Amino acid sequence: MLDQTQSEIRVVASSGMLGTGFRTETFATAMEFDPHVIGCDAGTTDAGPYYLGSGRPHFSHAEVRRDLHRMIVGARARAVPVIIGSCGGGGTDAHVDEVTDMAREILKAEQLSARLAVLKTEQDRDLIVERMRQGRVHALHPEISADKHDIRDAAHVVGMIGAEPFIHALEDGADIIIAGRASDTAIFAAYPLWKGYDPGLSWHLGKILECGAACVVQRSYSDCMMARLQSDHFDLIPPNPAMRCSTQSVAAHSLYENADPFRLVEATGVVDVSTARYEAVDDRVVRVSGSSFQKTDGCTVKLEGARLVGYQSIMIAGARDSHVLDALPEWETTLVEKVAERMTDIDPACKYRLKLRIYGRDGVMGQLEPNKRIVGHEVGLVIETTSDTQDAANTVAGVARHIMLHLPVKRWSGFITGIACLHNPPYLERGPVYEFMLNHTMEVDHPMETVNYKMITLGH
Amino acid sequence: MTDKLGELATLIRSKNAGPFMLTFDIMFDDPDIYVRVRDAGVITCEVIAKLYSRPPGSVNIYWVDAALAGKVSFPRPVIQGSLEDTDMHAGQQFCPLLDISVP
Repeated sequence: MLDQTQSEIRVVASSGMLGTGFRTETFATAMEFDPHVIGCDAGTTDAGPYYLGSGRPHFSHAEVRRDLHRMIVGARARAVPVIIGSCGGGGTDAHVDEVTDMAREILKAEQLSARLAVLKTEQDRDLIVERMRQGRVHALHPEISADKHDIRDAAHVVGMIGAEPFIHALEDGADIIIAGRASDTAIFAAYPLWKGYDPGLSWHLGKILECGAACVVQRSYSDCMMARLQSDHFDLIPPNPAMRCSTQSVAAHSLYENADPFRLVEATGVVDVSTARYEAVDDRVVRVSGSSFQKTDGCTVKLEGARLVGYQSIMIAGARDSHVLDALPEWETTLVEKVAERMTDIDPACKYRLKLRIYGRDGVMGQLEPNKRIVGHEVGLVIETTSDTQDAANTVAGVARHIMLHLPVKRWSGFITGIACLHNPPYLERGPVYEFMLNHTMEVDHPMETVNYKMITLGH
Repeated sequence: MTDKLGELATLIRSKNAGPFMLTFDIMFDDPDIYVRVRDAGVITCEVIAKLYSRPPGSVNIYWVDAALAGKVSFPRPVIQGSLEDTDMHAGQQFCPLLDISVP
């Protein structure tokens, strides 16, 4: 039921990503709007699998602390909740711990008190394997195969939560909510849903706010965004006077990083914006209405996992000799064969991957490149070697370098030096590399089943 | 008279839609140009599939009238960030679309 004590809900997103910053003046203006809740998303798979795989943060401690500090101070001054989802980029427990410690330090330094809810979302591998056996883990499109061994081998597996765990924490009196992997949209939809507002509008509002000021006509820098939700519409109001929303910029935002611009699948249903209407209130504010939410039976969490692929070294080089460029396909094949021969001689047990990237041909688009002709007078080469240990990756890189350097081409007789190495030593250690390995949902018995929930009271 | 799509659109971009999907946005600011491109029949699953050497059944196309934008999505040929990937954010995969001729 609609909470009659609140005839509208004002939601502020401090930016599209915790750690990317927002203008001090913009945030002050947003606070003057007297928001009911301040949120920020901190996660994305777009950054790549390293953060989920390693548990290391996507943005630096200093960048995140700067944003979080202002959010907490602003929110405590008004006694409204702060919600952070998908800490650290990947949303692992280590990421959540780091942001929780940061919040604790900020509260202490500012002599503030708060009830801090921590929602960890790393998954119990036994539960996933059990649910797989029961047929309650479902592959999404495009299908990636995963079995119980993959689940057990993963470096980290997180389960993306929807709005309900946030609502649980709000109901529990949380002033600050720090979550592991969470739907970006749910961070902002949770409060209005908790207060009984229309689910279609609440979710659509969340979808737009989760990217901060990205829905304005020209987002020149990262900044805050605000929405005012009423019973049958919401208005998008950029608190920065230099920014404006247009009906097109807001409608177009539903395209961003979504495969389907009309339907957005969440843990408990599907947000449908195909029936949404966009009207200009004035030259900066856009009113949205008509979006809907179709609830599905039960609840799922989307599983995200990353596994260690190995350790990598890379070498950067280039070729300028047109005879080398003309001979590149054969040159590449010969290189791979000769490295294999040499590695068999050195260490037959060593498993490795050798990848040659040719910039100036198809280095950017790979197999999607329709034009594989080399039209420039030189190419850039990146040689990647990946193996079970850093030493082994270095060994293969060293072998590849020496073979490449003197690899013959037909036009020249005699001993050549056919590539230009950029660095000395020639290769760079890249350390551990990870890959995404799950595109699945798992049925849960209730929305809190896979969440490790804790409430901490800090300060006096 | 024909024009290149790259000259008609205000923005053509590509991006990951999660680690497993690749998506392209083709955006306009003039409703007439948007309708001209939308109805020209030059952005179809077959055309995109051929341009990117993908199976036609794997390509989806959407027209979002409210946004004056077209959208193309298909599964990434390799998973984002895997050893074979060439473009972590998939931001440079749109370029072949620029040369599509629009009557």
